[in-house]
Amino acid sequence: MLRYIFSTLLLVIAFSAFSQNKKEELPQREIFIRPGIDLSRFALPIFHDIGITGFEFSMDGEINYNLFPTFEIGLNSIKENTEDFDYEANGNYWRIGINYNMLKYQHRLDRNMFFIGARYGMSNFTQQATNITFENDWGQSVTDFPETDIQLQWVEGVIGIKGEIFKNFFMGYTIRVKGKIKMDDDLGITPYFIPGYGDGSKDLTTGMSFSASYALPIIRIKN
Amino acid sequence: MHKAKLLLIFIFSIYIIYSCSSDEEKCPDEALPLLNINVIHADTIPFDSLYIYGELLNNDFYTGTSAPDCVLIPLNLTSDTLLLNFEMVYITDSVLILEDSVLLPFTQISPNTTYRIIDNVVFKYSRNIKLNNLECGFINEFDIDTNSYFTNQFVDSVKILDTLINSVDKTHATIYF
Repeated sequence: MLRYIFSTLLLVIAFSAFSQNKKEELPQREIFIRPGIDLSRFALPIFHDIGITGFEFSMDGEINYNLFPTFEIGLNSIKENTEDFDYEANGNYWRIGINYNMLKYQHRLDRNMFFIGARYGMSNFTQQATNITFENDWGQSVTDFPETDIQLQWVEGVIGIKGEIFKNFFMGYTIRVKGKIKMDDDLGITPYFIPGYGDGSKDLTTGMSFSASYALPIIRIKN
Repeated sequence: MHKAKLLLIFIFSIYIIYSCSSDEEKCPDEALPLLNINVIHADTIPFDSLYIYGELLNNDFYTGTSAPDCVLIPLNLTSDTLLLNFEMVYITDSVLILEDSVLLPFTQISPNTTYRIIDNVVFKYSRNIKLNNLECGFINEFDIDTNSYFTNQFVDSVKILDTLINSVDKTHATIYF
């Protein structure tokens, strides 16, 4: 009887020990890069009454769960023809920076982000305005501002989120606060819209982007 | 994940509201601001009529029997100077010529005779074209030189009150006679 009880106890202990050693395997966490586009660039003609178009491509990657170096590059074009003036501006821009993910993930599948970050940006563009016409009692005047090459450098502070809507597919928002560092002096006229930056008359401005991106796995690693 | 979706919807709403509100900017009323002058008349100089006009035949800016508080004058867009003619008219039988009046030097006056005296006032200025925004277009600002020129048969002085001409809501210069 005592041997029976002891054997039963051993079995019970053995089963419980086995259960404790059999840890739940967490899925491997991937190292990935994430190319994306800014969908808000396609909405520019909707939110502005002038002929403005643009495109922005981005790429970020994961150093660890918290740090994400980021690179963004884009184009903008403005063309407006009226009875009183013709205006055209074209240019490109890029930004480089890093995001810090403030979320503490609960499991390795969790790739959602609520981040803050910083960027350094540069824009190179040209603008010209022709046939600027005014008329009063004295007569009519027509003025042209020839094509001018302009460069602007700025820094940004960003805050935003990225959520994994479907497997590997992310959507998110970034709110940007931008400040000029350096801009060319002899502009002729203050730029209406600087690619990547915004209102050329403001030393400090804000912006927002709405992105869609897809994670491409690079390395699968174990815990 | 649910929280992430809620945050996406919340911030998207802010984006829509922000985009709708930030573009509602009113266009400025004055793409071509006018020079605003007032004229101050010393009572020692009587007159019947005062005319203020420019160099061209249709540049008639003021006609009246008293010194105007406000005359709005367009600036020449193809020049950097504005010449104004101030013409004072008096008819001897209708105007009391006071002994200490500046008109007394014109002592060879006849009764029932119309006399005209013309002074010139010249303003110098520079013009700056600015892009307000593409929805509203370009605007002009003028910067007027504090040193104006005038003949002084009856004009006593010209005082520049504000050198920046970007609105008619303020007086830019005062003419004293």
